[in-house]
Amino acid sequence: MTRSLRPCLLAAVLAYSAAGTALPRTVVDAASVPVAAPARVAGEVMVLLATQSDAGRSVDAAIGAIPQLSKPPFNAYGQWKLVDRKTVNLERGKGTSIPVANGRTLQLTYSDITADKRFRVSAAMMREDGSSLQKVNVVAATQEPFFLAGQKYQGGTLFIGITVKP
Amino acid sequence: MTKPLSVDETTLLALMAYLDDELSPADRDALDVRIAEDPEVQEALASLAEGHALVRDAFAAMPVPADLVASIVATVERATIPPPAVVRPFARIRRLAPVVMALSLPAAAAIFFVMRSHPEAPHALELPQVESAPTMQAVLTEAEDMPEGDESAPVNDGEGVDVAEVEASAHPITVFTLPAVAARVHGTSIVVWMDDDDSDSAVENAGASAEGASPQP
Repeated sequence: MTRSLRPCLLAAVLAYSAAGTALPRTVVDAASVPVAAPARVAGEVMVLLATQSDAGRSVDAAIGAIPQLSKPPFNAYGQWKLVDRKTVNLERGKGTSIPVANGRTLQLTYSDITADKRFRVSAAMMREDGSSLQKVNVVAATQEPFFLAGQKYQGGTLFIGITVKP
Repeated sequence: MTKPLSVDETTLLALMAYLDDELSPADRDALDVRIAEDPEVQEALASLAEGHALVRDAFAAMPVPADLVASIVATVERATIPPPAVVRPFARIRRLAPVVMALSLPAAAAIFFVMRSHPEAPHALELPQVESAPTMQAVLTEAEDMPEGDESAPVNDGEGVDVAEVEASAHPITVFTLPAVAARVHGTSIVVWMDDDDSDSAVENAGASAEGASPQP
């Protein structure tokens, strides 16, 4: 063992010795530490149009690097185009409506934060008449996109990526 | 229940150097004599040897973060008077003892929770849980996760995206999972796929065609 590790070793041994006798054994998991839910968070909505053709694979440079495109169901498509990308403010408990290119409306609602600092978000695709076509409630880590997909648009399919960005 | 070590910290440090075979021959011989004569020193040596093996195995499986070691060493060295030209290893250890002792418990808590946060690491030390330690972990997590310029925003450093509930109006739904891609996020994310066959929707107005629209998930 190197000399530089000795303080760590000593610390571990002392803690092991001391905690066995003197310190309370109360367990407080980090996941139970309360986390204050911010009043608002930012959300990025990225609308991608995926199509299939024999023209070869092409990815709109504006999309940037998205590793997911090589995974199912993304990899069923060869051509990718960025339709829209916007950042919205999500106020806690209030729905935020985002028009989608196909005429429908995406409604995002941030409701809470979990003990492990993920955000409870619902994403609903609304018809033109205001009824809900599709809704998903997720617990999402910041910076990690999730997707709603399957809607048709201009001969292709929309993939709507939603990312919480505090 | 672990019995507390009953020897002083200087002896503890000497015993650790003894275990690491870093004592001079003269110091080692002197300590051999103490070990042979003093049952408390024998007991401490046995306890340290046990911990030594545990920690060695744990660190072999999961090396100590270089920045943690560097930070501790740098702190110790900053806190000491510049050494004389010739310093015997044992004497240097003795001089550093108070500083090392002062750093011991916070460092122990840090190590403990680094190891707890990597449950897959084999042979992790099963240290008793300490009431104050979660606070330490929270502080460390916050410090590591905070993006620059925003010290109040909570940032996750763990799982990706989980589905809590899916609702759809008479449409089949498929939920795909895929590896999370964000930095410091592990686990998975999701793609919620819904076949879009609303004939009366604005899709038609937007010029949609059913052909080639679905990957047949």
